[in-house]
Formats: sequence, structure tokens, C-alpha cells
Amino acid sequence: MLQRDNVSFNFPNTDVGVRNVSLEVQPGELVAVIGASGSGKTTLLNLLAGFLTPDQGQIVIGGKNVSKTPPEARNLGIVFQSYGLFPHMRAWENVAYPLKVRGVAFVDRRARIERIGARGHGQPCRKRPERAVGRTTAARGIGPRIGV
Amino acid sequence: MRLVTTLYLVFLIAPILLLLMGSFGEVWSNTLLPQGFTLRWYLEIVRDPSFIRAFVTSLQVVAVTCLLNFLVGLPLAYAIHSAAHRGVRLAARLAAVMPVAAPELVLAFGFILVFSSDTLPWLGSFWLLAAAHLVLTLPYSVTTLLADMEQMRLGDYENAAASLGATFPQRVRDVIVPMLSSSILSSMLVVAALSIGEFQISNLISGFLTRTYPVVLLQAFYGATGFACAATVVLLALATLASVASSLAARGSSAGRFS
Repeated sequence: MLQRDNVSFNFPNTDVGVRNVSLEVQPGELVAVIGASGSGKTTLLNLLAGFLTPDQGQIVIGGKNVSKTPPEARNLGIVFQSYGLFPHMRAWENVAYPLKVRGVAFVDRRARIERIGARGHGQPCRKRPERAVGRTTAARGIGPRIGV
Repeated sequence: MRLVTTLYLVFLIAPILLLLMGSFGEVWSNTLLPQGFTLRWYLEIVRDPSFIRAFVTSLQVVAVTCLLNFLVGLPLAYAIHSAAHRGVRLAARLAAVMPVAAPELVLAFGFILVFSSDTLPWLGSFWLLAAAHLVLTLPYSVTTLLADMEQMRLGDYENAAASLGATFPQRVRDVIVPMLSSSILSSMLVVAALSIGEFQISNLISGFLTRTYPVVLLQAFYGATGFACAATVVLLALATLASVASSLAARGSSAGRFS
């Protein structure tokens, strides 16, 4: 379960940001945040991901207050709008990167990726067509949670 | 237009061609072009212990300057890039490029004043020379790295890595350094080219045994013309090598970029 209580954030020295946002998402629930350009959708997600720290209020994931937890310790899967695929890694290495940082050995990573059918992803990302890039990004986003 | 371009190229290349010709010419006095052909001047350089020592010193200074630029310049550029406050970013950037604005002579006098005292008697030492080269070249490496970090939106990739569970040391190892590898290489080669040819500060602060190649080169001009030409060609070849390698690396870095 994900919970945000009365969260506010202002970008330094401005009055731009999000104010008093409260939101609760149940496990399995699908939520879409819709709003005009500049209304704070990305800021909201950045706060959730931990790229920004709220000035006040708290963010609770699975009953634990993560407001001050760095992004790498939040265990969230994020699919970036700009893809954010690492160009110096092959596609499967991108998908398996969460395993690498969790200390899974190279052979094991490769084996797990092949098991989920992501074979043939051996090309460097920079050479891949846009469509496949989107697929790889999505796979990487959900990778850590499905325990690839 | 073509004539102007040709004239300009001739203007640029003529001194280099003359140097090359002079370095192989046997005699060059009171004539437009040198006369005869000899390899004698190059052999004399190889046999001259002060030139060999200066050559080795120069290579050592270049290596240490590149290493220091990597160790200091990369974290500095990264810190400026990730500073949240726009004012801080601007101030840090100005401070980083300051040595370009200050005349080298001023910097050298500063070094002489500070390091000839009894408390810090390091004038003439190898490490002070390397430190001076670092001060001179740091603005170039920081500016190059910073521009590439911004252009490739390094912050986005770092966020992606962080969201996948990578801690800061892991992000440095897996994302920051590999993504900037071409940029690091090309900025190091620019640093090498600058450091090889640096004369002003080296001349003022190096000791007799830590003289760099350009400093010793000046002595050559008091001797035979052919010898001076050959000694200059050696320096030119080294600096050109570094510049060509640097532009190849820069091309590699822009070609390899993710779009």
C-alpha cells in the first residue's frame, strides 16, 4: 500500500511545486494522474521515487515511512519518459542491471534473463529501434519487482 | 574565396614546413632555404643528456597532470553539474575557469611568492610543477566534462540507476565513468597537449633538474639553427599527436552517444 499524507514540496527559492497532496493507493490498484502541463505530475512522481525530498508531510510505502529514504533503497520500478536506458550496456544488461547492483553474478543474471524469454537482446542499446527501446525500458522498470 | 583560404593555409603551414626543412638541412645561414640533407640534428638531440632528461620530465609531468585532472576534475565537474542551486553552479563554473583569465605570468609569480618561503620551500620541485600544470589545465577538462554531462543529461541516467537500486559508488562505477569514458579520454588528451607545450610557468618555477622540454628547447635557439629546428619538430610532433588523438576521441564520444 502506498500512502502520502499532506505532502508539500517547493523548488528552492520559488513558490513552484506541489502543495498539500494526499493520496492513498491500495495493492493492485491502477491509478492515473492527469493534469495540465506544469501542474506537478512529474514532481509528484519524483517525490514518490525519492529524487526530491518533501519539505513537509510524509510518504509511506508498505507501512514504512520512506520520506527520507534515498531512491535506491525504495525498491520501486520506474519507467522513464526519456527511457533512461544506459547506452553503453546491451539491452539485456539494462534489464538485468537491478540484479547486478544486488550482487547477482554475471552468469546467473544472463540465465535469468534467458528464462524470462528476453533472448536476442544482445545488441547495444544505442543501435536499437525506438519500439524495442520502449519494450526494454518497460522490462527494466518491472524487473526488480518480478524478481527477474 | 578559395584564394583567401589557400593563402591562410600557407600562412599557417609555412612556419611548420620551414621548421621541418631546417631540421633536415645541413647549413642554413644567409639563404632563403636550408642547404644539404642530414639526420645529424636529430642524432644530436638523442645524444644530448639534458634534452633526454627534459623529455622524460615532460612526459612525467604530462602523466601526473592527466591523472590529477582525472582525480580532481571529474569530481569537480560532477559537483558543479549536480549542484541544485543555479547561483552555486554559476559561481563554481566561474571559479573553475578563472586560471584561463589570469595571465600565466601572474600565476607564476604567485607560485614563486608562496613557495619560495621557508615554510613552503617547494619551488623547483617536480610536484609543484605538476600542481601548476594542474591549475592551468583544470579549466579545460572541467569545461569539457561539464558540457558533455549536460548534453547527455547524465542526471537522468543517474536517476534511472538509482531507481533500480544502485547506490552512489555503484552509479559512479556503472554509469558515470563508463558514460563519460570518451569525454574523459578526450579531455585528458587536450590536457596532455596543453601540458606538453606549456612554457611560461614551467620556465619560472621549474628547478634545474626538473626543466621540461619547452624550457630546455629555448636553450637550443642559442646553438645551431638545424638543432633548434629539430628540437622544435620533436615538441610539435608530440603536441600534434595528442591533439589528433583528442579530436578522434571527441568524435568517438559524439558518435557513440545515445539518441
